[in-house]
Amino acid sequence: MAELLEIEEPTPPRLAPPTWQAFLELGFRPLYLLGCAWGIVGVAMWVYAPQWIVGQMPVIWHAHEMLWGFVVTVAAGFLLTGATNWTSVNSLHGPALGAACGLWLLARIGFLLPGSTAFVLAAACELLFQLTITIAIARAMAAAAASATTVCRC
Amino acid sequence: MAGLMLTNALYLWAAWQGDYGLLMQRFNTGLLCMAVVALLIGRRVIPFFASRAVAGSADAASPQHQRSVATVCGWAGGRVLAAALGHTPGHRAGHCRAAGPVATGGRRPLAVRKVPLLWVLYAGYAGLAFGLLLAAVQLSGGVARAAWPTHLIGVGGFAMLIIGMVTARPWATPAGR
Repeated sequence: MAELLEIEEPTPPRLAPPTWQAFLELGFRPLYLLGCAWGIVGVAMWVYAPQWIVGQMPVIWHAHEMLWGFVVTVAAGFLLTGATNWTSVNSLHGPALGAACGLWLLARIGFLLPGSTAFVLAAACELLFQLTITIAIARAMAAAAASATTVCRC
Repeated sequence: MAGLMLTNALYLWAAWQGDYGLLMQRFNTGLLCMAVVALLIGRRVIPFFASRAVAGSADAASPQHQRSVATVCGWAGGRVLAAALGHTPGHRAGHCRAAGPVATGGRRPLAVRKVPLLWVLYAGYAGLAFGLLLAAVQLSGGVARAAWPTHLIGVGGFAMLIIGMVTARPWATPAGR
C-alpha cells in the first residue's frame, strides 16, 4: 500500500493588532472618523433631541457644527494627508495629532454646555485646533519648497 | 484652512455679540470659503480617479486642463469671497453664478455611472454647483428660504464629496485592479 504523505499547510500570518501609533500616523485616520461620527451625532441631536442643545440658540449651534464641526474637520483630515503625500513631509502625526484631536473634542463638548465660560473655552479650543492644522500644512509646504530650491541650486 | 479659521472666528464673535444678521452673513462667507476649497480639491481628485477608471477622460487630468480650471476656480472663488464680505446682494448673486458653471464643467460625465466612487464624486460636485446657482437665485430674490441653497451645498455637495472620499479605495476601481 502506498504511503500517504501528509502535507503541512502553512499557518496564515498573524495580523498585527491595531496601535495608536498607526492610527495617529496620518491626519485622515482620526479626523475622518471623528468628523463623520460627529456628522451623524450632530444631525441626530438637531432632529431628535434639540432640547439637549442648551449652550446657545439651537440653529446657531446646528449651523456651526455642521460646517466647522463636520465638513471642515473632514477637509482638515484630507488636507493634512494630501500635504503629506504631495510634499513627502508628514505634516502632523503622533502625539501632536492626538493633542489636536483632543482640542477638537473639547470644543464639541464645550459648545453643548451652557454658560459663557464654556463657550469661550470651546471657541479657544476650536480655533487652536484649526490654527494647528493651518500651521502644519504651511510647514509641510515650506519644507517642500525649501528642499526643491536646494535641489535646484546643486 | 486659514480662511476657514478666520470665518469661524468671525462667526463665533458674532454669536457672542448676539448679532444674528451678522452671524448668518459670516456663516455664508464660511460656506462659500469651504465651497472654494471643495472646488479646488475636486478639480484635482476627480480627474485623477476618472483618468484611471474611464477611458478617454485622461485629458481632464492634463496640466493644461488643470491650469485652466484652477485659474477659473481661483478667480471665481476670489470674487465670491470678496462679494460675500461685501454688502451688495446683486454682486454676491453674480459671483455665485460665476462659480456655479465652473463646477459643472467636465468631460464624459455619463461614462462614470458604472464606477460608484466616481459617480458619487460627480454627484457631489454637481450638488455643489447647483447649490451655488440656487444661492444666486436666492440672493436675487427668487427663493425665499436661505436654508435651501445652504442645505443643497452642504448635503448635496459637501456630504456627497465626503462620502466619496472617506470610502475611496483607489485599488478597487477597474483600472486599478
